[in-house]
Amino acid sequence: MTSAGDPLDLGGPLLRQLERLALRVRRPVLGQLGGGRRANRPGSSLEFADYRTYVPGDDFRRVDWNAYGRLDRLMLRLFEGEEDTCLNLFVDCSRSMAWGKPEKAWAARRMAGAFAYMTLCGHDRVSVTGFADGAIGHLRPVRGRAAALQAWRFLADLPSSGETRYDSISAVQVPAPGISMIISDFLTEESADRAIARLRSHGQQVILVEVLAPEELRPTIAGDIALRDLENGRRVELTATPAVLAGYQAALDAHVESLRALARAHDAGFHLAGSAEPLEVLIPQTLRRAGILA
Amino acid sequence: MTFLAPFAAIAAVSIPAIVLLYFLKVRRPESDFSSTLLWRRAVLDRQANAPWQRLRVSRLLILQLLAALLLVGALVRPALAITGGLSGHTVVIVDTSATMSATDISPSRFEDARRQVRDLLDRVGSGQRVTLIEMGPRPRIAAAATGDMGPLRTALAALRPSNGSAALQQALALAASAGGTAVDTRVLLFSDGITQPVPAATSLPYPFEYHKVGLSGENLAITSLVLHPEPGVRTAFVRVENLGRQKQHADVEWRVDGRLVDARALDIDGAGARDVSFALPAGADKVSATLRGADALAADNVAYGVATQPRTLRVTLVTAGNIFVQRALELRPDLRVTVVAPADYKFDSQVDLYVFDGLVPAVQPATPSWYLNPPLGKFGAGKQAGVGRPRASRPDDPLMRDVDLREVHIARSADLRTSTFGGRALIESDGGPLVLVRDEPTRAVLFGFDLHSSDLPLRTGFPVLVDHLSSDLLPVSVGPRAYHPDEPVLLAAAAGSTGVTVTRPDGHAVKVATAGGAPAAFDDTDTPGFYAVEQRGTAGVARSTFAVNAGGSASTIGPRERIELVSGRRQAAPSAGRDFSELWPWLAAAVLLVLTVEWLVFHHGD
Repeated sequence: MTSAGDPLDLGGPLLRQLERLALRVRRPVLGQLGGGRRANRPGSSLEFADYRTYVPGDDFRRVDWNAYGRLDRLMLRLFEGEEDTCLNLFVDCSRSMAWGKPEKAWAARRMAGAFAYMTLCGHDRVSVTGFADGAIGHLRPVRGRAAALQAWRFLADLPSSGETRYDSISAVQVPAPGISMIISDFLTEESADRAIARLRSHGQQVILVEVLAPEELRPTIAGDIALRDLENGRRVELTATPAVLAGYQAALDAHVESLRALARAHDAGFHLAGSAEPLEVLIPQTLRRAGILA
Repeated sequence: MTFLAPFAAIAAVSIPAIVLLYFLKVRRPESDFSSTLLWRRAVLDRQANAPWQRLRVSRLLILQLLAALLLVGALVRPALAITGGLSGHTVVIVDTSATMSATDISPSRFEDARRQVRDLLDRVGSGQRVTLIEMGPRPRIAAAATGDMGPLRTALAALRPSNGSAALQQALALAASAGGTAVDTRVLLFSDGITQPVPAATSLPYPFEYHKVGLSGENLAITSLVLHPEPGVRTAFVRVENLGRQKQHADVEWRVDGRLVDARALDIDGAGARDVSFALPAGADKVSATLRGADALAADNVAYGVATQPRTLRVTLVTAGNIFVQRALELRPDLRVTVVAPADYKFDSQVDLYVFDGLVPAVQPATPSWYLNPPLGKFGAGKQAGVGRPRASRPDDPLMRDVDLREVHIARSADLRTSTFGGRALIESDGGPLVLVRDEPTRAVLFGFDLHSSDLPLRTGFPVLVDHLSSDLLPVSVGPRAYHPDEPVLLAAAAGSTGVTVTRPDGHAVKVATAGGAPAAFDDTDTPGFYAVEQRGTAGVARSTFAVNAGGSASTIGPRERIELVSGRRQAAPSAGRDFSELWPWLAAAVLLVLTVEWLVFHHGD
């Protein structure tokens, strides 16, 4: 049951679990502001981390002149980064998401809300973008646990319309570096390849979460039927024989495998989530698949 | 094979309908789905957008067409005819009449009937009984109700086709008695349906099935042979009939006393007949005509006749004057009639027949006698009185055959109701019997009225009646007459005879008992040919001959399509009455099997 303070109906037990998870998340990334955890890349704090060879464009103030004297080479001093991270949530708001029991859109938004809350509890920032055939809505990066409600309301108010266009993600400016999580059903002819590549080029660690309804994972249709695509209206006439259902299952497996391969190609994480799966299970699983949670 | 429900073949429209459905796309209910991306990939080869699609021969289509075909096959109820069904008690009647020897089906109708019965016996189950009845001129139970196949097969194997006719009515009576009160009795008749006439009211209390045996009615036969050996005439006539539809050619050969004396070639159109005459040589005795050429029935291809003048019989008419009787007796060429006045009557043992008109001698002769108008008190005769319209006591009495009494009037007759004459009434009126006939102690006929008080002598039936009566009183007179196979021949010893022997055509001699001069029936006349009768007596040996011919009504061999029994529980027809082994259960099972395979193919990919 939703309420004004919990528009995504996440519930107290889940929120407490998310708070605990926030402490266990590893692989911090460098950010612009000092965050609540170590970055896994050298930063500008006072704790020495390493040297590296100078390349044109580096800040001269970080050149270790003593090392230059000993080695006759320009070396840059690197420090451990105590900086914040921004989690960029891209939530598919196309019409195909507004389908299923439970509805995929609702599951995706609750999932996004849960990740946002966990991130905000870790003193990191969160941005949210709803997309379909364009950016439907964008919540600029927020931080602090108090911003969680804002993020939840934003997610809850996102409409469902249009077709999925992953290129619309590319149009969104994301704070770099950071974590970008695309939550979608990925059921479209268009590949997310270019969008992921662009995010990666902006220093984003990418996580793909495919949300499918139970009816999509294990269809139960029977007999002669014509299926109409919610997004593009295309019809498919079929007789739901076991052979056809088996064919669907094979197509689904191939589809999931192609997404997994895409994720591997971009060093991204991938997780297939059922819209009926409880978030208490789904969130840790997703984080582990992405290598964020030990 | 036959189809019990041929109109169900209309269901065959389902076959083109199935093909049509394969041309037409199914109109499917529409349902929204998040994305059809994966479904399109799953059914890539299974969809088309046009309402019509190219017919693709698939295993499913073939199986569905096969199922429809089998279903139609089951609906029309194909069945194989089987030779009669069996019930708890099956009475099997096998026709052994002459026409069953016809070879229009190989080897013969009789053998085909026997084969069918043999097949039927093979299907007798435990607890079932079979009675076997042979239907010849005198039907008999060949094997009484039994479930033991041994005696039944033996009895069946012992059956032989006869040259006589089939007495269906007697056979049905036997079947009725053999069936008793059992409710599970069934009567099967294996016959060509050519039988003696059956009264319209004939019925059976059991289901009756007629199994027609025989195919064709094509037959060429000698249906009549008439000899006129009298001096000055000496001619033989033969009638050859083509009882079929096809034109036939035949050669007629005449034989006299075993020697071939003439031959004629004949061409006879279908349903036509030819009469052929032949001049008899002097002294001819045994004459036969033979048709050469194969046809369906051989028995009627030969006819026999006796040309010898019969033994002359002496008849003494004792009367004051009765020209009617005298003339009627003199019509028979073998009778020599002597008229004697009552006062001149004196018994003569050489006389073969006495006719007493208006008197009864004090000592009645032990000779066949005919008494007319007996005096009051004789044979217990009462007073003369007026009588009503005369009629035959038994309409089917052979003595009254061709004698019409409807226009006959009798003014007065002695009251014979209390007569001591004995015997049975031949003609009667409402007032009692008018004519009595007896066999014991001496064959005799008693007319209670004076012929002059009646218009009977003026009717055409009178000489016929006199001929019948004289033949009955003098049955040994076989003369030129020919008999049908199995027709009983009455033999009586001539005056002073001590024994009668009949030698059949096959040479076998049979002694006939003629106790006390009473006539004896000789019924071993199944074989066509000449039968020699020999009587030994004090006066020596008297020989006579009679012939038996198979031709005649038995030559019409076209099998009957049905036999009607008026009140039988089940009418007989070769198709409706026959049992069938229906094939639809097998076809229905095949439909189920095909549908199962179709279901499996459908659900595991085509």
